[in-house]
Amino acid sequence: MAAGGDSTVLKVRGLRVEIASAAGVIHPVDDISLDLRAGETLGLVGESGSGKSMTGLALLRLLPRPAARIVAGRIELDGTDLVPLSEGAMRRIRGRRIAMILQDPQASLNPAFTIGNQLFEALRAGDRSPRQGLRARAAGLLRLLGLPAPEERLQAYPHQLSGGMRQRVVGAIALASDPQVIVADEPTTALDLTIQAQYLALLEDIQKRTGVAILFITHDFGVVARLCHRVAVMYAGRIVEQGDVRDIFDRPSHPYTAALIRSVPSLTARAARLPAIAGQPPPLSALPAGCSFAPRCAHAQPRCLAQAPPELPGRGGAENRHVARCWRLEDPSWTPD
Amino acid sequence: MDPGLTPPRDQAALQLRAERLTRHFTFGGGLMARGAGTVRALSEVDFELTAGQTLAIVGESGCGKSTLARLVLNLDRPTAGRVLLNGEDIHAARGRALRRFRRQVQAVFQDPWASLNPRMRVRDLVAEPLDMQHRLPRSEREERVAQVLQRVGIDPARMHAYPHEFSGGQRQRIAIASALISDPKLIVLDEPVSALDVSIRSQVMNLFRDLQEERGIAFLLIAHDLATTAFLAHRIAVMYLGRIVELGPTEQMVAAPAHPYTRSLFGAALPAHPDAGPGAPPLSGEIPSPLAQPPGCAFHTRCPARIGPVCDTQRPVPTKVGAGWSVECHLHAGTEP
Repeated sequence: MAAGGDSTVLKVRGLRVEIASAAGVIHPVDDISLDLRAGETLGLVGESGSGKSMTGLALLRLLPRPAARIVAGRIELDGTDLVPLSEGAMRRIRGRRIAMILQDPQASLNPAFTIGNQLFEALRAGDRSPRQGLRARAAGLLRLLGLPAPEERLQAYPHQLSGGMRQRVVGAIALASDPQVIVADEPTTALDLTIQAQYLALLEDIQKRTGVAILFITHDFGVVARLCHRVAVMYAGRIVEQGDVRDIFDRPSHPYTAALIRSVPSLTARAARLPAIAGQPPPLSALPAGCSFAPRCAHAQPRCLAQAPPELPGRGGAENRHVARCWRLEDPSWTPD
Repeated sequence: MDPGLTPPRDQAALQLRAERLTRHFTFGGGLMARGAGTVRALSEVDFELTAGQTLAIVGESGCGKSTLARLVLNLDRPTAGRVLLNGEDIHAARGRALRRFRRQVQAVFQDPWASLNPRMRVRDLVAEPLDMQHRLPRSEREERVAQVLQRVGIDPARMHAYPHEFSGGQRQRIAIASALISDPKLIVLDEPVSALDVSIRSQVMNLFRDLQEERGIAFLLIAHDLATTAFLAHRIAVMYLGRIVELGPTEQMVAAPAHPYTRSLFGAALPAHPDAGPGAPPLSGEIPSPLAQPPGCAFHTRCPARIGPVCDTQRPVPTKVGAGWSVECHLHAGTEP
């Protein structure tokens, strides 16, 4: 098992991704560290361009090449560092021990093959078991994912299914080899509300049964509130705050997190105005000195504009693994509310 | 009681009425070799909208909300029923009356990338609705452009730039400026903030509220996000398979939805806090194809509150359940107050 004796299955330390472009060198993922335990869902939250999807791709070593590459850090899956592995060795791990679900199920399914064919392939990749029983296991997976009439669905082609059903098939393929970790990048963003609710309930149920650890990438704090145990908030390539979901909602310790949570309208409490965050995120090619959020921050002080803040214990306490990158936390009585 | 809204300053300024509005698409033979069919995209829809008010149309994919928007914008013609703007049938308008309609009714769409021509300067994009009617002297035209840009929070000095020089949130503001320039009475907002990042979304939603207060504009809001809807709308119409199944005042409906589908839909909304619980149990099954609509109440195949055979065979009629609040459901039949 992983170092430390706890159930940590994925341990990321100091991960840094570099993209060299005509506009210069940027770091869409900059010094990211996180832990994911078995049976746990970690929400990786951020706005577009924050680096959350890039982080997900980096974890599976699926960065677009040659433009992007990992230049520093470790990705330990159950004790094995994935960063130095050859592509051949990585291929034996990807899809088997760590799998990915993308937002658009269309992109993950081959339109020319039946659902059954694609599931059989995933099942065989998992354990090279003989063909016998494959059919029953494939149908069983579809049933686990809540697809009605699973035996018939095996003959269907992707275009014959609705978006919600396709996303379930992608989920079944990801689960086929019983992975330890699933990286899910906005898998419900394209789904209708009632279908999204079904899918999230299903993920939760599958996690309880299999103990799979999930890294759930999203922009939506509602999904986080519904599903996640832990939360990491990204801004301009960095994790600015990380903690238990209740600490993030009740004791947010970075002004960006606090402002984001406040700015989400609630269905029941109809406000006259929404508290908004002024301005917009900086381009990665022209990050401000010091804290990247400082130019938009209502709590910024001169030091914030000059010096990047280190990770400090959040208001939920270091013992609860609550940390945030904000200078103001040096004052224990300060709050970003 | 109307919840926290501006009283319409001039009732006579606008009245939009949809009467038994219906749009069916028929096809037969040809490429669709499996035979003829009818898609009942929109069936017998009735509603009214006056100045200073926002009516939201909510529902899932295929419910007909986009078809409804296209009809109200006069981009498509109904197969039955009509839309009256201040008593005049908009689909009968020709010549000068049609130009007046185009000036009075504007739209803002979801994707500000797609709705702004990349080869036109911001100045010309914003002035487009003006140019359709009459040629203004250049100085006056630029003056009007500067005014609306200023109002939506874009520096008028940037009117000579191209859309790609702006961020997503700024582009949506430019689209709003263009919708405002002809001083419209009604703006159709089709998923106006769905493509925007969370921190930008609240800025734009506040802008809509302010504009309505200042100018008494009516909004027909098409949205799938319920919290956005509840923030902007005075009344909500819930659509299912081409029909409005419930229409009523926002606060009362959110507090106590009358139709079982509204209950499930609102229950599927994501929570604002991790302790809020998972809401209503997710609906089972998928939305039936609009090609093969079930007889009776269209929702009976998924309804958790189905009474009995009456639901499968008889279409429910609209029943009043409160002031300005009606619902199509057998549960409420005969309960008219």
